[in-house]
Amino acid sequence: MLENKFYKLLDLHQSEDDSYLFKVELNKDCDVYKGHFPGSPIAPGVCNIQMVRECVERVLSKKLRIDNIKQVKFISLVNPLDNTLYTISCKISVSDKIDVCANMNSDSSDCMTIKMSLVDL
Amino acid sequence: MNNTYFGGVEVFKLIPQRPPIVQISSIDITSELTATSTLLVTDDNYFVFDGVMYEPGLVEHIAQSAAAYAGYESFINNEEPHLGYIGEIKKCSFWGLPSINDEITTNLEVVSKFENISLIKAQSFIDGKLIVECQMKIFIKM
Repeated sequence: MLENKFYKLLDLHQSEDDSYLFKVELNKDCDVYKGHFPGSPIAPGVCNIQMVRECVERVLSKKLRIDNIKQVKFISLVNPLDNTLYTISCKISVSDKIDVCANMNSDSSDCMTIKMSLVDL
Repeated sequence: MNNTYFGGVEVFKLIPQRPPIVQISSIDITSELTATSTLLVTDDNYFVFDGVMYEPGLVEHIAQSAAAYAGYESFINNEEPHLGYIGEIKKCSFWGLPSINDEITTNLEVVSKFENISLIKAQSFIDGKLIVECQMKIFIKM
């Protein structure tokens, strides 16, 4: 949905049994920035959430829908003119739902933490 | 008495977002702490894929409803809408995904407001059926 439009997945690495590291590059020319916001590009928080969801879909090789979001904290603004390279570290536990705990950060700062549960689409 | 209903391009008076990310079709400021907004889901919606609107679009719809609510205060003071950001999302559950031509109706309630931070609660419905509810903390850049 947003892959190769809003972002590009550069690298995917399984760090532990249930933990993964994704390196992503944001597309600073993405059309979303025409509207968010005119002259002041900030990555929409909901696009960052979608990016995490797509990363989980990729490692589990299936389409998922979000059942619930327990909590998301947006810690710092993601400005694609300042930096386009981000790391998403993600812990995935599969039970009756797929529980995801993820953190998005740049080299210099944390951007977002999220806890959500996904289920098969 | 000010007009409290804004539809179509009129909502641009209340929010800083512009296409392709705009996720509200109308908003009615129903009281000092409540508002009702709508979104007609069209095939060119940014979060529609294969005829279905995905959850981030619903969350953005609620966030922009809160932004429009905050923008109303700027509007009546003859100011441009301020940029607003989601600080936190909590207790957000989904029970359905909209399809093209569905109209989403959202009831927004401001639970608390301190300076430029508002805590809001929202529920969205399609044809009376609850599809999402959530809480959000919104920061308005002054």
